[in-house]
Amino acid sequence: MTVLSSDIEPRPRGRRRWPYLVAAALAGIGLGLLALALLRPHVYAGAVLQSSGPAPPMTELSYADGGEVDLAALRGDVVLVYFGYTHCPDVCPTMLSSVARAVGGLGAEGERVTTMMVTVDPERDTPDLLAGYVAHFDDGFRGVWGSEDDVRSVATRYGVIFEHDEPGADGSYLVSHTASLMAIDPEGALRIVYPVGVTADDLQRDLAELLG
Amino acid sequence: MRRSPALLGVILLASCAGGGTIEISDAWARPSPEVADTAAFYVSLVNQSDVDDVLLGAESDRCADAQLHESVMEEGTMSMSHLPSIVLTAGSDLEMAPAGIHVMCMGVTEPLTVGESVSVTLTFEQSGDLTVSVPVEDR
Repeated sequence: MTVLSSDIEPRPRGRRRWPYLVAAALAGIGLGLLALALLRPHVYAGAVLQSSGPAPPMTELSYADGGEVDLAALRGDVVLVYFGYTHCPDVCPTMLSSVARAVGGLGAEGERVTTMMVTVDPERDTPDLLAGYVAHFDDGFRGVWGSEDDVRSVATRYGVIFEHDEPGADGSYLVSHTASLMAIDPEGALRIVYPVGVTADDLQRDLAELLG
Repeated sequence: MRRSPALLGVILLASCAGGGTIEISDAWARPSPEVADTAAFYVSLVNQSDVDDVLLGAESDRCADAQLHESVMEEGTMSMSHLPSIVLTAGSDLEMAPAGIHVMCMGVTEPLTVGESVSVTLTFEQSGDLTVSVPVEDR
């Protein structure tokens, strides 16, 4: 009789069904979380500049290994600009090491990141010295050099100031400088400013986002 | 900040006539570019005694001169100031770190390379000279 069979069936069938319901519920939650993650905008680790426009030109400066610095030629790449100097013992190596790790972590995509250190000490930082210094951190890093007046004009456009401290007894001196790292996006806009202390991981995530 | 067992190994306890006891840990230095004239050493210090002590300076045969320095951010500009000495009151600690207090090595005689350890002597008012082996690491 049909009544009898339906009386017997429900328990085993119910027992067999619940794992599927749990799996379906978990899959639903998973999809929801994935959608949230995809829809949520990337939060940059640095300060995002709103409508900053094209990055200020620096054509009066040259690469330490030759050639004028033409930012327009780097469209499509992310350009990281740092103002530093080779006699800088602490802050510059800290920043350049983080950038090197971040760019290295991107693998092949890292080739679309151009990192340059503009010297704020052109008197002591000869092009050769500068090229050797930045290459220590990453073979692809570019040293950028110019006369003190030209470096100062470019620095001012980027909101960077620098000043030579009083020389010590041996004539050596340190340079106080704005030590932020600036990122120019592939469209050529100055987009993000990073403080000293930005981690390589945070920077790598931001670079991946900027590269698209 | 404890980073690795190897670093924990670099711990030195010293007791001297003055009664000072300074624990030194987490010593490290970044490799220095071949062309660079400067480098930095970082160490963490704990004054485990019940008397104040003063870090008076540092030296290493890898540096023509070594000084205590602090990188200071002022209105967005990074400057370095020379610290003639650093007071370590009884029980206090001092963590040197990038973009903060460090031993600045001036006139690097030979580039610091990953894997080696550099001998650095710290001079304290109470504890005298303490020599620490500073591993060069890519951090």
